Amino acid sequence: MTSRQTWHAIGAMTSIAAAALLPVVSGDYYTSFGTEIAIMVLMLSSYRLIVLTGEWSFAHVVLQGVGAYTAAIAVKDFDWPFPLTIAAGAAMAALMATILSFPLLRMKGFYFLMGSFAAAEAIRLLWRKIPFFGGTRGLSNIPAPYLDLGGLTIDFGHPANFFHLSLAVVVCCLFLMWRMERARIGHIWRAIQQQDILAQSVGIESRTYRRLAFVIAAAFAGIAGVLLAYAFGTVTPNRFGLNFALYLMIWSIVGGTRTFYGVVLGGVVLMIFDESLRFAEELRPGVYGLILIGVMLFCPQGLERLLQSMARVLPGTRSDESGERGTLSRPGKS
Amino acid sequence: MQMLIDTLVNAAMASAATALVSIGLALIFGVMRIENFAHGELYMVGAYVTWYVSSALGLTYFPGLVCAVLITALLGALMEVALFRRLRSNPVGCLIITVGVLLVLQTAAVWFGGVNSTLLVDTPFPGVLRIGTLALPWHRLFVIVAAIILMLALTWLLRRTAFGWAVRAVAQDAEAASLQGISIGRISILAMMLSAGLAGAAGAFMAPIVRVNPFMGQPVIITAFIVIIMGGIGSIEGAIIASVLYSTFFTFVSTYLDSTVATIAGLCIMLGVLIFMPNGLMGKAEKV
Amino acid sequence: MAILELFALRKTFGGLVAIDNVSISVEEGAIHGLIGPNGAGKTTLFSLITGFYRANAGKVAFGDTDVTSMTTSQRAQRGLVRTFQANLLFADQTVFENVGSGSLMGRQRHALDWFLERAAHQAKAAASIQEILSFCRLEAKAGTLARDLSHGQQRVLGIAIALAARPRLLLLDEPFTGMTAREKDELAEMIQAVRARGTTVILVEHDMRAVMRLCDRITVLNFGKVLSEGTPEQVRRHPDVMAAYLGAA
Repeated sequence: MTSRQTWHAIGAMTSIAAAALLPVVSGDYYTSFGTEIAIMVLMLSSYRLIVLTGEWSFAHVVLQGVGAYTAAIAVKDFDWPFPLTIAAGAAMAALMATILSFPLLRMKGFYFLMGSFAAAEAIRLLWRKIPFFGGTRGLSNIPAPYLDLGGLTIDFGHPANFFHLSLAVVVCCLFLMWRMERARIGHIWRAIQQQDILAQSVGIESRTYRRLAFVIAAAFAGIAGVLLAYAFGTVTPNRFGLNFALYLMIWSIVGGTRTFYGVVLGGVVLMIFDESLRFAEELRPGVYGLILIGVMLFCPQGLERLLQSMARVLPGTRSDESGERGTLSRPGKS
Repeated sequence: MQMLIDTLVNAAMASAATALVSIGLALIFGVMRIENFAHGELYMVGAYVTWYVSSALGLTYFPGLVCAVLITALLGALMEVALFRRLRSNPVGCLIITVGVLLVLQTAAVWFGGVNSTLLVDTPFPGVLRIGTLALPWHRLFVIVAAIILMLALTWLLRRTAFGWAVRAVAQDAEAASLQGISIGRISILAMMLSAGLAGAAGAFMAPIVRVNPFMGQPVIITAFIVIIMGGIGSIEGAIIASVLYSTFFTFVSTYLDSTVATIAGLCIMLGVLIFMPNGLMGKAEKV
Repeated sequence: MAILELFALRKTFGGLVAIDNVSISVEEGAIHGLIGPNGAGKTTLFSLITGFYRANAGKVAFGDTDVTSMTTSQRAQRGLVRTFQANLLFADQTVFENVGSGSLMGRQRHALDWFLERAAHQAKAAASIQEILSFCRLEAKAGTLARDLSHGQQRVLGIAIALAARPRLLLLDEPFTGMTAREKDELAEMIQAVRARGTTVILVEHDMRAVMRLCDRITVLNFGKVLSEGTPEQVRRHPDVMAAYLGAA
């Protein structure tokens, strides 16, 4: 491993270890908040997979909702255990994404954004309308996971336990995504994003790989949805509306989508900032708006750029690993 | 029968208001290639200013309307000068920044009048016009007529004046236009002002009819995007036609069925257009 | 054996007929030139062959497969690869990475490689990238960003990327444009070396010297039709060809 990779590994393991200690240093409230952050980090990292192919989507939060509703129904009506609901949530979200991908991937750029919004919002409104999904009030009283294995019993209803469970799930997912990005498929995604036509001329069928990114990202969003359902015990349609889709986009941009850790950083920082604004609940969107404007005007590459400037001071860093730059490509007109 | 007439009048009014907002959106896209997500909030600002001037300050409706248009136009100019101008080279950045403006304006309205505000604006045209057994609310008729007048004025402006010619030139080919001596900066500011003013006017028109609240712009912007995609992004004629078609459809479905069903149907229509006819009704999307 | 055959290809844009009843046969292992005055339809024909445009009528046969309805990437996977006049590159990647990107779809890979990288596999890929780099004489620039190369080197890089995709048929779109005399000589040698390795080459080019020197056979296009075809000598002497070029001047 190069020394740069060593630094990354150290950084990652330190962060995970530090995160795991959260319940030790703080009470239930902040531990639950930690769970929320973990879920959001999973959402942001999976969202980034779509951005890596050069597109921005508004459907991602609704796909999380698919996972959440699946979990709610699986647990309440069929009493499924945790591992099974995770698999089911991921599978349903991936299935929905596959179906949506056929009409949506014929569009690019702004049209894709609008199309993804239209499809997702239509689904969300159906959740609101159809009684099976609980209508406007959604589904509630989702019981927490409970492990009863041999002599070992763990009640994951306890915030600290659920936090560790979520952390474990999220770290596994992040690891998978990280490996993917460095493997062939990650290179293909980047090639499509940077020079679609050139990629096609060497045999890369861009639509297939865009679809793959969309579906894989959706599977992870589905997992995030399952965690959400357990964490809150309730699933409502408003949790997956346009506002959250906008926040996802904002946090990705502020964090920076160029590197793997950019969105993680952005998510953590902004959620903590979000929490600190709790006293001024109503002003939060405005503050976000100002942050967004500020970042776009002065620091369009996001927080990760700041971190990289600081990192240049560290020994052993050399100029960049493979081809990630300006992921903010123009949403072309089709 | 009354319900049918009511629905028709409402449909016409909705078409009028939607058309004004959508034209503005189409104009900005045509001239500056920017998708302005904050456009719905300009509509909302128009309504708020109208309320403030006419109710809080005690002046009547029409000064409120005028102020609404002026202030939203100024806001538009500000957005161009402070924000868009600095991001000419980063079109995605512009889109993101309009989301920022959206959030700031929404929050400003919340801070200004409260989240659950039910601010009321009195119309200068109360009551109804009676024709036989039918009752047509005066204010709705006013909205329809005023919108038509504005659209005719806009058409005249775009087709008969030097300014309009310059705007269309920039929409077609900005580089060629600037080589001909047209100042892109000036046209951009004026186009933004025009577009924002139209949205503000629509907000002022609708203020006596709808609940004036900080989130009133949200459904409006969604409808506007559906409409301009239907009509063909950048095409003003397309926006007008699509406004009428879509608003009529939406109003009828809303009234006779359910507004949620109407919204779902509208979204499916937008999706259908995007899949099968991405250039919309007016074909090639580069016209103003 | 003909590696590429075009049968009565026709392409219209609105009312304009860009390619009219063009039939060409390219022999395997040949260097086949495609020339013609500006606007003759050379680039359109290129795009038809590679699948960027769909023909309105006619057939494109590659090897013994009818590829007429295949997409660009499907044709490329079968070994039909092109370069671009506009010289598309992955500007922010190094030369090494650019060539690596060209080989992404290459030969058989272990299924797992799609999602995880394995050290042994990486080493093999690196070796074959190095091989292409030295073939194109770019190995000294392996770590340079593509955008920092000189114009001539960038054109060569474009060809290297195409070579990384292991083409059976390589279409070069005006590769000599903007090169110095020395770079042109090197490029000509490289094209002959490519052919020597078993890849057929089709060359669209304005530089007459290069075309006459390199090509075994030449097809001349004018107004979207085939004007003449034959060896460089035959084509050079053809009265219609001379008239077309002189007339168009």
